[in-house]
Amino acid sequence: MRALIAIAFTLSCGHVQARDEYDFPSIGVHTETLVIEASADLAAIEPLILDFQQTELGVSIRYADSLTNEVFARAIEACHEQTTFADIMITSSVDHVAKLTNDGCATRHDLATTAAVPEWANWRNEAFGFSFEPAVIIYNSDLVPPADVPLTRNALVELLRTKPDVYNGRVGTYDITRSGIGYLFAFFDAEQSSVFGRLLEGFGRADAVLEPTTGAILEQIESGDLLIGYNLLGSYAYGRLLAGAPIGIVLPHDFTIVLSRAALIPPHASNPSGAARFLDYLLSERGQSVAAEQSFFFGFDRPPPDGVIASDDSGAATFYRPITMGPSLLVTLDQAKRARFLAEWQDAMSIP
Amino acid sequence: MTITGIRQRRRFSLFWRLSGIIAIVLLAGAGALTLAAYAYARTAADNAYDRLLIGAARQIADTLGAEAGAVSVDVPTSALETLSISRTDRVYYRVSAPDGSLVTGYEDLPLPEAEDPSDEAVVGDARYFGQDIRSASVWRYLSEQGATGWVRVTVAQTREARNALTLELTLGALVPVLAMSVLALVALMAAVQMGLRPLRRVERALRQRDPNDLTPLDVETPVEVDALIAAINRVMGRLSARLGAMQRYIETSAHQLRTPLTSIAAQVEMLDRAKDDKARATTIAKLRRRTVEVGRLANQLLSHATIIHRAEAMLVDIVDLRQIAQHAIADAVLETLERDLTVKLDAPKSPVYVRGDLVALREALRNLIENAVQHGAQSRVTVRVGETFGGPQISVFDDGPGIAESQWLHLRQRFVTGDIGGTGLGLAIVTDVATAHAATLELTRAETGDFGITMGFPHPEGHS
Repeated sequence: MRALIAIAFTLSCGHVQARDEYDFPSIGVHTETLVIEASADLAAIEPLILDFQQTELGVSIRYADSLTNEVFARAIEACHEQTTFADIMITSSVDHVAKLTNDGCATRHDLATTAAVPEWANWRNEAFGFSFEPAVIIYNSDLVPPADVPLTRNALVELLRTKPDVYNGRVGTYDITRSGIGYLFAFFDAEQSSVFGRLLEGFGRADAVLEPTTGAILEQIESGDLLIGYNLLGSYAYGRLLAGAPIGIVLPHDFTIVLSRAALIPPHASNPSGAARFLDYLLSERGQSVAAEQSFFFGFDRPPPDGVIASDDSGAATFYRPITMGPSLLVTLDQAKRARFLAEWQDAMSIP
Repeated sequence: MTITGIRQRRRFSLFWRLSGIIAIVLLAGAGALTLAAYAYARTAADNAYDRLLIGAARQIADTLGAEAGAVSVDVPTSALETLSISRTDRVYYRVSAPDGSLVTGYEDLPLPEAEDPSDEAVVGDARYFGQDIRSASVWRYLSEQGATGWVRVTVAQTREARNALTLELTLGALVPVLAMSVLALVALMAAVQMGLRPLRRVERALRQRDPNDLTPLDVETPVEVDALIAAINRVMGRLSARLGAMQRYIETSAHQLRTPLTSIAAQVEMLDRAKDDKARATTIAKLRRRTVEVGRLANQLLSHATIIHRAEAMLVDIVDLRQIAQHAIADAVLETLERDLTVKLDAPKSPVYVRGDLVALREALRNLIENAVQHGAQSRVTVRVGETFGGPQISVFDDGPGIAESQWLHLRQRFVTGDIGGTGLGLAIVTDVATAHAATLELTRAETGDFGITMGFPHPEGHS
């Protein structure tokens, strides 16, 4: 890491929220600054930033990482008050992006190359998905026997039902009340199939461990405290797999939900041309290669990386269920809908 | 000169002018059709997308219910997916409780105008977030504890997909309209060309004609061009008649001149052979008389030729007969000097107007006066100008023997000299001028008993 300045902000809403700021000085003579407000691990974004700076020697980048809700709140506030927020906004909460775009809080940008982006990851040329992140099942490869490895949701339900003595208290998933991505994955899981309801009941009976991040669950799986994690971010897990962690990754064979981290140019950006070039870079052949090799390991139109247990027909159109960026995502943000969904989820999870 | 002047002033091509007018009409028609097509396409696009909008609103309304004394709604993803088919439009929704408070959605979304809540959906246009939107509202009556009344569900979307469909439909209609217009223009241009072809045929026939050929045109033409051909043939006929008259006149004139010239040549011969002074003097006297006669003849021939030409011209001038009389007397006076003869003008104080040609009238009057001086008058010639009940009159009187009634009509023909000699042109000129002016020519007697010839003119229009 080239330079790091971590700053913690205390916000007025009572509890402490972190906003970490990092500076990437330009390689050559400084000509312009690009401000990125993001909700994404620096580890994933850093290779892309560094490679971008190789192509644009004069660009200094200020990167700030905070929670998705916070980024969203500040973005929509700046948009309504018509003030400058950032040059680029990056978040994994695509429903936030949908809302921003729907409310006219994103600047239209015609990509230099549109080949890389599938239609579902581009809404109105205003919001662009640039990564390919499947929701996966993770297990501890030392402790879970191959016969027990669940390849589908039904298999997981059966496993929890038939071997409660082994798995009770040793499965984990997102606490969707605290995680935006977890909520999205759960919401679309519920939309896609009825198995999800039975799965939730299974989790409730098995006294599943709930955590707000993939990392927290992964740590427990690696340590052996947990055996199986469900609906976790594949990219993050694959990074750990490469680092030698004793884990296995399964793309659920019935269908795999896919999320694409989204980037957009907020209105009133102070360096819109730099932002446009960064977006073009993210979606260029070069940017996608860097993302697939160093950041997210999965990519549009690429086979899953080695070591991931994928279905033989993973190339088929019905295998991946991408979360399409568009107005239907507004439903996930609907206040009433959200409250109802969370209530149902909590009901299922608290089954004794 | 005149012809080129006309050409330069009004130079245009009939073909291009017609084509231009047709093109403008077609363009205006195409424009109007396109506007109509646009209006129709917009309505059609709105109808199509309004159904989706209302459908989505009804889908949301179906999930309405009451929970814990409040309106509850479970917005189905499918409702918004219905609207995201176009992938380009933004979508907004708003669910309002019976008291107007927000249940869920966009709190400030503009609502379409509606009278009372009913089962009917209403649609409307508005602006939201700086963009044109189309919104639809449906109502559902809830009668549950704590939530009783009409709950309103409003769904809106931006117009991008509608505009795209409108454009597509309009362009679809525009192509045949333009094609039809171009086709019509080409067809009409060809029709104009075809319509002008007879004119070109006439032109070719006229151009290829022998310069001396003045016979009527015989070209195959459609009935529409008949009038033109008739007009051309009328001109041809007049030209031919005129040329014929001129030719005959020249032939006669040549004959008339040849006789006295032969006589002069004979006199000169005799002069050569004259033996003594007395004979020579006699011959010279004859010669002088002959020469004067030839000069007079030549003069009259030329003036008659002039009159023939002028008589056919339009009579547009208003002239004063008194003035004509004065000039004619002045012209004729020279010849009276040799004799003891008085020429007198008897005219009123006020002008006497007739419609006519100054030169022709003057020439006619001069001939009358000369006739009187040459052939009649003993001692006096009187020119009288006056206005009678029948119209303006001019008369020339002399105290000579006059012309017998029996000879009168005969003498008025060309080259008829009567007993008294002369060129035979004088009365013919007078007759021609009188005919051209629609004037009568009569023999009269003055109170003094003098013999006279009177020209009676019609009243000039506008000068009574």
